[in-house]
Amino acid sequence: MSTPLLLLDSTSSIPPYEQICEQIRMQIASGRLLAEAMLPSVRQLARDLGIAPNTVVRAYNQLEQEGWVVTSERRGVMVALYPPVPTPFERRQRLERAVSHLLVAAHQLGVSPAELYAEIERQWRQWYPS
Amino acid sequence: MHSMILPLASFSLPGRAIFAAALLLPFGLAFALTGLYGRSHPSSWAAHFSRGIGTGWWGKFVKWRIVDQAGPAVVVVWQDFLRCVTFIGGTEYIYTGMGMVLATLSYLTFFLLTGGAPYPLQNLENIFLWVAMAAGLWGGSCIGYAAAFRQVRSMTARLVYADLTQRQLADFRSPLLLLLPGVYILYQALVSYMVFLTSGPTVTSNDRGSNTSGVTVSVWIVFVGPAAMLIIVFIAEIFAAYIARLPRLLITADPKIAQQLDNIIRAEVVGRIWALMMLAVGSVGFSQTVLVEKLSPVAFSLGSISFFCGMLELIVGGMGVALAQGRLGGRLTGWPWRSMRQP
Repeated sequence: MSTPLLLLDSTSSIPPYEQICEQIRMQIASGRLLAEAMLPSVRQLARDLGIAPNTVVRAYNQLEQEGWVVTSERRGVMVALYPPVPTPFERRQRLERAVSHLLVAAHQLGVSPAELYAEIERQWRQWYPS
Repeated sequence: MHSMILPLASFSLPGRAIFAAALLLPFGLAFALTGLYGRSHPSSWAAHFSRGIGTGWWGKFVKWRIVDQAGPAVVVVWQDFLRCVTFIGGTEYIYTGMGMVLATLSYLTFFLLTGGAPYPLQNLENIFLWVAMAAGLWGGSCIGYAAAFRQVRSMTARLVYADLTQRQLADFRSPLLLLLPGVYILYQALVSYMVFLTSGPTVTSNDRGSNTSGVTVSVWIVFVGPAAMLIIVFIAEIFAAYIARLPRLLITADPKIAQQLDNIIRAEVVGRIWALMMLAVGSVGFSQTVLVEKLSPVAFSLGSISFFCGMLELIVGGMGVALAQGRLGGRLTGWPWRSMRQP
């Protein structure tokens, strides 16, 4: 049995803390990380990824501000009971940002639109099997 | 009563100390050299030895469903895994060997200071030797693994991964297992307490036929064994928890498979630490049984039960844990009699 993974690509143009935030949001939204699940400590995550603890702290702070996680001094960081519902404006803005990141990466790799759509479809099925 | 501390000048080394040094020092050095050679020559006998003979890595590959997950890439994954295990095993051997040498030296120092104290204190030496050996081996193992993890990480690719859950020792070993040494130590402590209650401030050795019969020591000596066993369990817990929390390794290119491979190695190391711990606790328990039997008729009458409990601890605990091959009921590992859950 394996536990949910977080991947960090050091060659990506996206800063590490954003990569962390994005993947944790995805894991929560897809139901892989359940409500009140404990997230790793700042120290463990930083050591696993080989990054500075401050980067992890920054990512956790952002997720907490957005309402994805809650932090308690005694128990650490855990997934919030109810994931945040973004306003239509926030939703639009976040989607635009994510798609633009994707397009930049696709352009760098020389991926054709057909390949891109196929990959999106494949991953969509992987993330949301039902 | 003989004095515990003798001046070093009047000291002569008894045969058993020379035997211990002659056996353990070369053994420790051989360990270290094997690891050193195995790391630099990955296809040599030393590398095969460093990976752990009888560990059955391929069997674990199948059990942990790595073969299913990797598909056609399994040959590459297997090579990556062997390379990593050889490196980690070799480094562990180097530090384990050094740990054994240090433990033997500390035992000899203890022996020199006590001047080969008379029976029943010889049993205390056995207890001390086990604590020193276990600490030396575990310390060596842990330092070795930490060093290897660091070096393996520095060789990794651009993509790194992390768990999104807090890793704990319970992922690799069920806390229920603590009952095994716990109940045995409690039993030994109760026997010691009964000796304490039924004796005066001192106890006298009743080892008939021995020239050390009649040696008188403080009654508190009966608690040394249970205390040593507690220390051994405590040290093992600390080292096992340390191994569980070490950073993740990127053994192969696919992070999901790398995570599984890392789990296999981690479970194996925790299993080894636990097997050694049970062996050490059982052995100290036997020394303790022999020690108190000679000091008190109460303990003597319980001798058969104590011996049976010790055997149970060693066979069910030590051998059982060793045969489980790292599957000690942890959340990730499960029990050996159950099949692995689908990842």
